Amino acid sequence: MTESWLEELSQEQCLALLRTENVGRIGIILDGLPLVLPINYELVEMNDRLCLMFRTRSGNVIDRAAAEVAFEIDGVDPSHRRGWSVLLRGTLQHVTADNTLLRAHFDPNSWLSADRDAWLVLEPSTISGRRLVEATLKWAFHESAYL
Amino acid sequence: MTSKLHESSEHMAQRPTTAASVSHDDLQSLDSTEASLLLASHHLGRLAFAFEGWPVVLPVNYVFDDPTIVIRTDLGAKLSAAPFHAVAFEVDDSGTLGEWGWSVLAQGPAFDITDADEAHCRLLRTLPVEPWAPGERDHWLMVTTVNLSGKRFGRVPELDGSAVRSSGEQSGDTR
Repeated sequence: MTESWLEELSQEQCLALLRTENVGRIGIILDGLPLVLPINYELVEMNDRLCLMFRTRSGNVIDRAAAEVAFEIDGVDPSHRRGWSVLLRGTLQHVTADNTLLRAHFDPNSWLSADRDAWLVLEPSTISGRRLVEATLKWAFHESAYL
Repeated sequence: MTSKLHESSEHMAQRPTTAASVSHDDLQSLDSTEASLLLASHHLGRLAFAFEGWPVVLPVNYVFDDPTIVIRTDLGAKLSAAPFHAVAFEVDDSGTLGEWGWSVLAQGPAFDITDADEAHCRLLRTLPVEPWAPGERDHWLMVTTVNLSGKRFGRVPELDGSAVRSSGEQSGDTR
């Protein structure tokens, strides 16, 4: 088996990956039990402020979850033993602003949009990422060129 | 502010075009047979557990040996001490444009069987679970599925059959 290793991604690399995806998994704790569910998101970068926007159905498990959440995106190529993952930790809050304004600027374009009228914002406190590197792989350019 | 917003919309434009949003009525529950089938036919999932009051989500490789999910991962020194009395495990896949998708959620207790001497645990450790990220301190974890549920929308190739199949096992390959 080819030896592979994990390397930490920089904040900028994590952000670059967050910009390219539009679906991830949110980890929540509901009644003391962890849950993880896929969800569409929109990365919002404004005035040095960074957050993720979600839309979900009012009253569902994500809407009712504790404020402390985790959010994960990944991309894995099992056949080449390559991949990466980015994990955010932060607080989830309800957004009460006018829906029209939110839709105009921050809509995560959920694949399932009907009744997704609860808008939530995740303010990350930590962002970290890892990438699995195959030992035999020679980078032709500086690694940032691949992101 | 306007320029930042503009940048943000440019990033969106580089993404694959999203298929027309699916009506909520199209989101259906998977029955346990479908959920087991999807769990058994995939090998990358995400393990979630609470650690110091916060949820942690980690991508892991696994093999499903009904009703047990066998995971191999390097948790790192810190997470090795995490309590695994209740964990969640999730697997999903979707079409590139979001025209179909499914997710399966398993919940139950997890046990670290890295050094367990029972015959059953020794047997589980012979399963072909490739650790996604090989580490010095590889752990074998066993999640006993107590709750199994799932959702789907659109035409799921693995359940409905289709000439157009996902090009990779995981959604990450196709995006």
